[in-house]
Amino acid sequence: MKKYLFTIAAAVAVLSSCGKDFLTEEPNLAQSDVLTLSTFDGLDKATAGAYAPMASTNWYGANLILSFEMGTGNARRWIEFDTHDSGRYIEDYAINFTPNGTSPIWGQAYYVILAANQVIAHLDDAGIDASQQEKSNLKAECLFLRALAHFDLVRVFAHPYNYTADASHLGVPYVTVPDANAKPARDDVATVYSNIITDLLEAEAIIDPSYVRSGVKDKKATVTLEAIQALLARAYLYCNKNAEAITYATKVIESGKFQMWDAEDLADAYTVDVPTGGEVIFEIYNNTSSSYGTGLENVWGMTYYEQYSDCGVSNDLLELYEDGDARADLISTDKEGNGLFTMKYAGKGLGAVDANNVIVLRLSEMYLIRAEALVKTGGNAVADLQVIADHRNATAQPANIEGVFLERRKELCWEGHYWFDLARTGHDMDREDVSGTAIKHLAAGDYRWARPIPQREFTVNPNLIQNPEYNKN
Amino acid sequence: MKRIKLFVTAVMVCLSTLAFAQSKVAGVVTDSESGETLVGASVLVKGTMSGTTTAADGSYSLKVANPAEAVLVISFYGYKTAEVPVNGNAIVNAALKADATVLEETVIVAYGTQKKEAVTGSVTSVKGETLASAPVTSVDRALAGKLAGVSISAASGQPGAITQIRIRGNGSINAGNAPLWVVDGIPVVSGNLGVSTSANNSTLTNLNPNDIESITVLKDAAAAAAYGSRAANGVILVTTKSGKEGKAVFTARAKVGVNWLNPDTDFRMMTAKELLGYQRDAIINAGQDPDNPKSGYYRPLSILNGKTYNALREFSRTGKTQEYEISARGGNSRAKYYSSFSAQNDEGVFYGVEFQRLQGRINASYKLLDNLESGVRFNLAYTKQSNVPMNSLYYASPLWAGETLLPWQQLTDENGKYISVEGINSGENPRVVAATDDNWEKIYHLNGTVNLKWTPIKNLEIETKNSMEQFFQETNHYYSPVGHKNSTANQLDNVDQYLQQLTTSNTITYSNIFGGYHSLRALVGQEAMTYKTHYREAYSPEVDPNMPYHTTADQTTTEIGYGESAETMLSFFGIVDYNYDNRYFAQATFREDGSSLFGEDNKWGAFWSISASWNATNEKFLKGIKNLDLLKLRVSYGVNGNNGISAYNAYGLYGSAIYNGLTGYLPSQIENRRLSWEKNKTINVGIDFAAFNNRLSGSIDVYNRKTVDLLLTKQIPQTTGFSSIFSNVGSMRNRGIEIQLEYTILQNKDLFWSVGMNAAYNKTKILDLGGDEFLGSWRRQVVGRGMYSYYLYDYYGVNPANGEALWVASIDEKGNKTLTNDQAQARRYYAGSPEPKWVGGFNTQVAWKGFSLSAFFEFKAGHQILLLNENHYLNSDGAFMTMNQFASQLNYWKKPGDNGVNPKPVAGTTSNSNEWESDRYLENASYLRVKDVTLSYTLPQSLTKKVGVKNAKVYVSGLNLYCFNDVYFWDPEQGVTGSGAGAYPTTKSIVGGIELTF
Repeated sequence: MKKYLFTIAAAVAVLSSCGKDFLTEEPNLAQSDVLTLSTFDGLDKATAGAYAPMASTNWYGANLILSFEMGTGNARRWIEFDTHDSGRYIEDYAINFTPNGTSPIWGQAYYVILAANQVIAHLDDAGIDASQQEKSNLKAECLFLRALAHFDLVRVFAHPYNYTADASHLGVPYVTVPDANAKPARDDVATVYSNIITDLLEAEAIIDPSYVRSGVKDKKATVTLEAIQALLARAYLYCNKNAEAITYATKVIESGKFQMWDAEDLADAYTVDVPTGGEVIFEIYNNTSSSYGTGLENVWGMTYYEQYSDCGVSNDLLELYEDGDARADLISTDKEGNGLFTMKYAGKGLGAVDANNVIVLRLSEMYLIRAEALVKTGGNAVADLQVIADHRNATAQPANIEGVFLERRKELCWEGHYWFDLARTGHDMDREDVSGTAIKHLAAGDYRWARPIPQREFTVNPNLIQNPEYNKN
Repeated sequence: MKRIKLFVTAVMVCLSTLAFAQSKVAGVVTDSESGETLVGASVLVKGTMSGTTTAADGSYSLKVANPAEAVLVISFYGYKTAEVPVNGNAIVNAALKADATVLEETVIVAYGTQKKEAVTGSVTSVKGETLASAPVTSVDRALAGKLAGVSISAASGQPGAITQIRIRGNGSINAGNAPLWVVDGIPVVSGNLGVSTSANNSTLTNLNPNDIESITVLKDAAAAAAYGSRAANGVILVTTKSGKEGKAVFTARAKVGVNWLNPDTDFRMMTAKELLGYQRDAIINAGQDPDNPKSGYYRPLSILNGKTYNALREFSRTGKTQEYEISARGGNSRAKYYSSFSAQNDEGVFYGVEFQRLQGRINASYKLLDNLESGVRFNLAYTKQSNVPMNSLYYASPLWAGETLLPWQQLTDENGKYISVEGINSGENPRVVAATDDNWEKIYHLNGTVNLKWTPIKNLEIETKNSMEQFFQETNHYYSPVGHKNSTANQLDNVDQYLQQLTTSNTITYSNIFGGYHSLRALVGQEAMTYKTHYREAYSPEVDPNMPYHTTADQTTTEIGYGESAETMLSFFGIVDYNYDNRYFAQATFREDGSSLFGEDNKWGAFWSISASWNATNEKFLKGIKNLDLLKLRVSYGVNGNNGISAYNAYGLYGSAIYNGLTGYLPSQIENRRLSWEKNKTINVGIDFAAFNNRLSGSIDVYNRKTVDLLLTKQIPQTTGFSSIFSNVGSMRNRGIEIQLEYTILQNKDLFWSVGMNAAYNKTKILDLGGDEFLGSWRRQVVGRGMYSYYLYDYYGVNPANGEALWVASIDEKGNKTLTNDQAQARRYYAGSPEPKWVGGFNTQVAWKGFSLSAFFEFKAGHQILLLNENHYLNSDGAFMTMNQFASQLNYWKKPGDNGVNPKPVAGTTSNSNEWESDRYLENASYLRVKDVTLSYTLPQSLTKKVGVKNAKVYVSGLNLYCFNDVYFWDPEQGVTGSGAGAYPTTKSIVGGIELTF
């Protein structure tokens, strides 16, 4: 009997060891983490994929642009006309957000952050067969995506940099390591900006200056040296580092890689599928065949007057333009002559469900960043403002803080800037041409300048603190 | 795998060297009537402690001290004990006479057979013949209500559709609640193979109920523990017929019948006249004029001058079923065989629905040597299920369209030819669709097991079983341009699916009796399983209707799909049975399973059970009690697993993402290295008894089944990049009691009358959802409640003053209700559950000479169903003017003071009185069903022998003849969730058959 038991025990031991391979069934139609992240090709594709969710309607594909434009005087819901009232973006127009009904960017941005962090965490693993520069280029892309995601998170879910004197108020968790068990607390706003800038500076330092991801359709929708520098210019401006903002805006302007659109080219510039030349430094490429951002609720479907078009333009905005300003032509009524709508996302003419690219960074913003930083530091911004005016058939604004601010609104309206510009510069939000019961005024410093963090996060992460006022219930 | 086989061989060799004493007396113990050998019969030398039990072939051998004078006492449960003098012979055979008072002698249990007396766990079994006569396409349907604690629900009555089987309630939320099916010792693939959403195609249809010898259900942890990680929801052991020694016996069977659709409540749709009157009132209530052609609703009385239809009658029919079968059984001392071939054709009650099956089986065994036997068991089946859109609210569903189409909708042209409907129902006339679409699923199934059994020395048996089960499935759905006047016209969709499961099961069993009182069986075993499936799909949006194949499609529009899944499992197990003097029984089971489904850190799981029973009737102090034939106590405890999740859940995964002209990768699933089995911990206490010369027998079991490590989608912070992770959190519990009773009222030469019943009470309680209070929306899993709780708006009734719907907005502490006519203000509350508290059945059988009448009733009680889809549209108070309505809608508010009626209908109402998630539509689903009634007559042998027929039986059998219930719909059975939508109703059928043996 003893011998018998021993034999069985030995059999079990042998079979268990051969069982390890037998008991492994790898999924073939989805790649395991291990497989994806163990080769350079896998890491390269994981980087290419990390861009994709930015096109989601939860982020650049609609929400980050529209939800915030709708809270300003740039927008109006034309509820007088049934065809422009599908019941969407009502709360955004009313600036009425609760922890259970808030911006969807939270989950989407952290998803991209995970995708980027996974690549960064494995780039230096042994066995990744690629040159240092090839690895650095991927890392630079991922650092940029991580920085941009956190930048959007902090400007959406936290009060602006100047909210406290030392920016010590609550920002967002800055996540740099993939960890399924992490329950991070919110970093303060100063830390978040400091980390954004650190990531971008590293990316700038390591990227091949001529690097463009190979195989892409739209070269402007991939991270380049200038995209990194342009985002740095904006990040510096947002945290009042004006000298650095000037430096980086200048680097981009003087790179010579971008040209101001002429007034007569403006209308077409927003509806091309793949831009060549022109102002775009970095954009989100949209196409019906993409994994994200398709469907009728994308930025095209929500603004184009033939579609849902809940997100219309107000007379407040239209009235800002002088006669002949080419930018006024980017605002149109529908075919019946009703309402006002932006033509910045009027489709590419590619199919039944169309999808416009969403510009994140472009050249005129660089001039406006430099102009603003110059004005703030006592410099002369006349030339920069003149560049804008010359290319828009418009009169240059006076080179003071309000002049730059007005020019920014006229130039960058419906590209997702105005709400954040109001917030960071401490302006009240005022609007006249409103429909329904939407509020006309939101004072600077109001709690609503920061969106509430989704309620579900508090039930699973005890370390998070909600933004002020949203906890009242 | 190679190494596994090597090792088994090594173990065999090693064991065969163990030496045993040579026997002096040997023999075979058989049944005196059938000549079948008896396995496990006790052979004792009278007056001594030395003895043995018979082996698998009925043989025994033992050492006898004094062969000339010794007497062998040979006993076997269910037989009269015989005393046989040895008389100095070396061969002593014995033929035991059956003891008619004992009904069942042995039961099939996990990895073997046990005397019923020796069973320590909770098992229940049913003989094949009680399943075979029912007109069903798969054996699971015939089990309903026959076994205590086994609840079988039909979510669809379509021929070939699956049933939902729950043994002792629901024990899992995400890992499945279906039991493991084991056929002839090998776990088989079970479930729904249907590819399209409207198809429902059970794998069990490939089994012919007539091939089944017996079915045993293992309910508690002890009985099922040998199946380890798959045993948590119970195990159903199916044993098919084996060959028998003796002259070949042929059996021919033929069965023909009809089935039809009929509710047993007053449920029906409105007639044209009723609907018109109702709609005209609704239009007037909406402030419009039904006689004004310019009003939104123009419903002049002249509508009735045109042709009107009962759409359901147009789309349904009396289905015809037929089944033919021939089987042969026979053998000699070395070879035995059983073979059968059957053909079956079931027409559904709707045009276009049909189920066909061709099936054959061979079970054969051959003794290569006296101690080496080889056998094969092959089952081949081909099934074809012809489908129409069903089991959801499809326009082309004959059921849904039959319910919804307005009676004045023209379905035929002037010549009576069916035509597309105009301007409604997406242009689809189900009768035309059924006639012109090509919509079917074919399954080619092979299940073969080859075994080799070696008895190298007395009492030791080594067996290897190697099995291959394969499915190849073809599906085709062509949308005819005649049937579909919409964008689906000329679509063609084909799916080919392949499935293969390979199993090797190897066991070594040692059994012996020591010292006459200590009986021991020890089994060790090893199993390995691989399961692989993949499908390919081709879809073309437009093919040429004259040649409806993909070749005629614009090749750039054809889409190809592919999917696959694979799973492996490796197991080691052991079972030890011990019994002392047939009074004290104990069993211990252990199983270690390794599975590819689980996380790197938790691939292996250990499952075990211990159980004991005490047969008090074999104690001396109870021997004297008259009328007590059996009193046995059982107790068991064990831990089983549930591995019913899909493959690859433990992996951190990347999926593909298309962006900017590149196909990149994106994280699609978060890794869980610790993902593991759900574990069921079950304690069971039971009592078996028999009295009055075994005329009364029964058993009672109580159990507590606790599931821990429930697999749930656990919420995690989105800052991780994901919002949830599939992990082992949560727990739930099932508690219940089961009773089974049989009583023979009369038994004499000509007349036999027996009754039986079984009933089970089960209560499910969710204990922990990993931090969540509840999951789901209107049908929830709630901590502290059962598996499903309906969370519904509180409908109060009609306002007698004005005919509006009233809702309860709130109830204060004193129970005072605040009412509102605004549905949005209504409160929600936990209104009921679709889980029956009681399930069971009872039966009676009367036999007089050659006649036999049996009736079988099934019931479920204490639960509710919510037919929210059908009611929302068809019990809508005017909200859906383009659909016919339930006739019950006619009972509506007409004048102030009317109470307890439906709200007044208002054409196009937006009052939401027809809110889906409302307790207004909650119905008591308790029912008592006359499940089957069979009258048979066996012709006298004196008559049949003249024509060379050994046995001739004719019978007529009715299935689901009547169901006592209060549900205003086709049938109270709506699946385990109680909320089907457009499901094929349970039908009624009658078949007549003849069975000849020669």
